[in-house]
Amino acid sequence: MQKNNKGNPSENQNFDQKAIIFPALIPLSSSPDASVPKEGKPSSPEGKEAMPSRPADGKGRGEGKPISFLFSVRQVEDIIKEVPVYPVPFSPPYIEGITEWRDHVVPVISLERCMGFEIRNRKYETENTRLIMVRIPSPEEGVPPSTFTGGDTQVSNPESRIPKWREEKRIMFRVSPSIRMVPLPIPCTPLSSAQKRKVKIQNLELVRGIYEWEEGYLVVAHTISILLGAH
Amino acid sequence: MTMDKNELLLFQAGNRQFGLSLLIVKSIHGANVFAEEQLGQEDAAVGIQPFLNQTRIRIPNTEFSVPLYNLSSILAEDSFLYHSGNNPVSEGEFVPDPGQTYPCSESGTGVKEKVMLLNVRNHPLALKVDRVDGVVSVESSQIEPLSPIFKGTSLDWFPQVLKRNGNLILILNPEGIEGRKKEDEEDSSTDLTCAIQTDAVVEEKKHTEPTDTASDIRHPASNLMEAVGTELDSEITLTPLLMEDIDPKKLEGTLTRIIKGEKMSDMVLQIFARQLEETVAQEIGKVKQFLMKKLLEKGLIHAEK
Repeated sequence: MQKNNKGNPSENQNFDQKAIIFPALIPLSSSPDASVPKEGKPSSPEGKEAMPSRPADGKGRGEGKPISFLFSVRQVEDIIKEVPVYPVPFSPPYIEGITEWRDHVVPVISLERCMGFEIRNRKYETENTRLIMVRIPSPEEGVPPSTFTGGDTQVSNPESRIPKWREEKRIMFRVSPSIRMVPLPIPCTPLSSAQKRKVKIQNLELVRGIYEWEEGYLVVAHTISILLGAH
Repeated sequence: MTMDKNELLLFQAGNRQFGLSLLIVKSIHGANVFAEEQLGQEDAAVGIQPFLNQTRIRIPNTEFSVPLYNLSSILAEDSFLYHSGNNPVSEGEFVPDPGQTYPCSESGTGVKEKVMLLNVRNHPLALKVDRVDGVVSVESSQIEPLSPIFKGTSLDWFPQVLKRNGNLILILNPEGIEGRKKEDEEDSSTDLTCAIQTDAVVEEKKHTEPTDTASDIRHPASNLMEAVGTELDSEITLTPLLMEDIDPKKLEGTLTRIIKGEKMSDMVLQIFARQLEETVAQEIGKVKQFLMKKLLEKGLIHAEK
């Protein structure tokens, strides 16, 4: 795979020299469209291959390539095995609830559900997982819109509707235990809009960019849009 | 450095603990004191639709009823409403249909259930809960707003969280139950209407019935520690409650402002002389007319408005 300098997220100076990568969680249920991939190799040591749970066209699953999420190490403040989560009534299913972390009340959410993946087995979703704390700095502190975008990423300038807040916000994501720290740059190619549709992420407004790399797809989440609800 | 203190009433609903500002809790009673009434044809006739399985309770020995929300069933984890956000993020938050009846879990046995009577910005409201745990005094630093990731009903109902002893307790905002806050901001005259209705009833009772000081009233502001330390009994009558429930100074201050500001003393007294809701409503219409006339005379508003 050729390195694409234009879309390489590591090129931005605000991006640290290492990144946290983990595969997307998939259900263990034996549903025919979500369990066993037709192609591609497992990206996690446990053999849990991360795939979009819905077939792209009835023949495959997002071209059968594993999906991983990527955060900058600068964004990730902590990785925790388990915390007590308090559900909040009437909240959407991608929000597990709230928890307390270092005297802060933070929401705990499923990144996959938020993006539009189907997680049918909640037990799997919460067992043997990890929780990563991602900080979302105040817009005043500055999150350059172009930090993660690459190619023709279809982010409808979400910064334009960002309310100002003084203190940085946080979201705790429940993620796969197969968390790796990888050095940057990562050879990758940004996907075009048409290519993104193959990945079958329903809520593209929650994505800063999708890149193809040697292990499949790398998805960079748009944390501010997730925090603001993406409506 | 001084820290602001907040008094919160902790209660259980749906086998989970929640908090509520003590300032708006007027009294707590055993649930079996009241007879619940379903909203009927007469409610529909005047445009009142059931909201979130709302019923009403009639205050004994009076003609007045208060909307009741059964939090024990609404907030139970197996209720439909609790998990009502079963939609993708792109479809937004759950917005309950006011006229829809939702399947909820069965309430408890009813033996220990409590009904809390609230006064939310002069709107009477009743909440049925599993039990009342107690009152806690907390510092403002222990209370945090809910994350902006929450929207809609969840944020309306629980805008704040209490951090206490390693637990997180959602603080209920009763105004969010009926989405009343926005309405109040849009139409402040509603406050005046309800205030007059409520105060009129209380004032009327002050002048017509003797005060029973020995009655078994559990007012959180005065008997809170006793009330929360033990299960509250249900031998409570509401007539003396209404008389004791109103702060005389507050009532006097309100009336003084009205009289001084708008010279409506005659009209207010006329309302106090009546007790029937219908009559009060008619009088309120007259009050509005009178008020408009006075404002026009003072040039505070224009005739075309």
